[in-house]
Amino acid sequence: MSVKAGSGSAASWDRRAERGAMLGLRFGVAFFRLVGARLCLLLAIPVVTYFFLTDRDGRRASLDYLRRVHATPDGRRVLGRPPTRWTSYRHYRGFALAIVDRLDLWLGRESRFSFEFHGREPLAKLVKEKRGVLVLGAHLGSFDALRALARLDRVVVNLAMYTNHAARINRVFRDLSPEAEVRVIPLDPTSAHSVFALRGCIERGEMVAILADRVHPGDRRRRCEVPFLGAPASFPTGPHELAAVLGCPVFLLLGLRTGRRRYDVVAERLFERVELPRRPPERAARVASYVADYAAALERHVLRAPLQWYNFFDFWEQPRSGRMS
Amino acid sequence: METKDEVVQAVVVILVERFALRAEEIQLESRFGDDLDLDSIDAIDFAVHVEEEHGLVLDEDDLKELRTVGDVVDVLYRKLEVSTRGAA
Repeated sequence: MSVKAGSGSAASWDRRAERGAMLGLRFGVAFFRLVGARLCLLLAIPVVTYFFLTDRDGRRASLDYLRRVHATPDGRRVLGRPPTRWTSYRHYRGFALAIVDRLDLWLGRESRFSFEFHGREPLAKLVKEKRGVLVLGAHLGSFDALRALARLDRVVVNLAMYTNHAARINRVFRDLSPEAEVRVIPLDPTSAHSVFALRGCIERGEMVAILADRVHPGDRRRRCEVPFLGAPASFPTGPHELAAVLGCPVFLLLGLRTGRRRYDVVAERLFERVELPRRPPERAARVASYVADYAAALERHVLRAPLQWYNFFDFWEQPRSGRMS
Repeated sequence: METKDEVVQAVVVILVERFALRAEEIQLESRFGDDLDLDSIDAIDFAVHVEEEHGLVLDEDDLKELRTVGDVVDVLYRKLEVSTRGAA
């Protein structure tokens, strides 16, 4: 069933932004190779300071988010005093450090890192049995820690993402780290091909990984509101509906930075299988309950490492729900 | 499900019951994306329901070609004819 998306300005903006991101990716990697991680870390400080000083909306969103964290008992314990602009600056700085680590990981230098795995056994068992798994991540810590897991358990990881440049990204990743079994599969809401491709991955016993915290413009109506840090927030329902189509176990996977090149990699089984009723009202309610479980699990980890939440926009003002709810 | 009219009815029933569409907005020329706001996950879901309820398999190649409700009806009717002939 071929479905065609509109070609509005949001879509063309997205394409432009993506082209820019591709250029940034090549430039960032080339620069990183040239000067090395240590100098990049030093240079990151003025760059972060510049962005912090000039990005008013991001700063405001960061502080708002940190206040929500601080309003919870766990958040208060981790943050200590009420958040200030300095806390917000540390939030930005954490993002820069994560990017430097990410470049290192893309270059296939996992061996320079120290990963402590939590809850890896159930995931490893499924991989060994050649059973495909859907892994949900978030913009918390480093999703690239998945690469370490892929190498350790010798499993192919397929990153499902909204992009028009999957082939180019795959080429860059292959150039950087030829042995890495990580590839990008483009998610295209207008074509059933991508869903069939992901089904193929699961049938071959591979991992499919997707970030499930941000509502993408392509997810026009696949979103719902669930509680998150004390207030309703919009989350995409697409990853959970995809899970129902794939019919495989679903895990949450996060890589939380604990120090220079040190990560806690947490794998948590969310659902043995996502099953959705046929009729729309019950289906919407059931999808929302799966999303709420994901959001609750994510919140627990956010409160462990609040400065590693890399959504620098008003998360609680993401587009509101469409037809699904 | 034997005649083309019955295929049309079956498709409309799935679209109404499964995707919360109104019967009156579904025409043979309705396009899945632009007119009915259905996407790739819906397409797979639709194929699964057709298979579960009517035993007709819509594979990736079939789905690639389908743009309108009329296209789906034609493909399903063709498959139905083939399966009926095979059973006879």
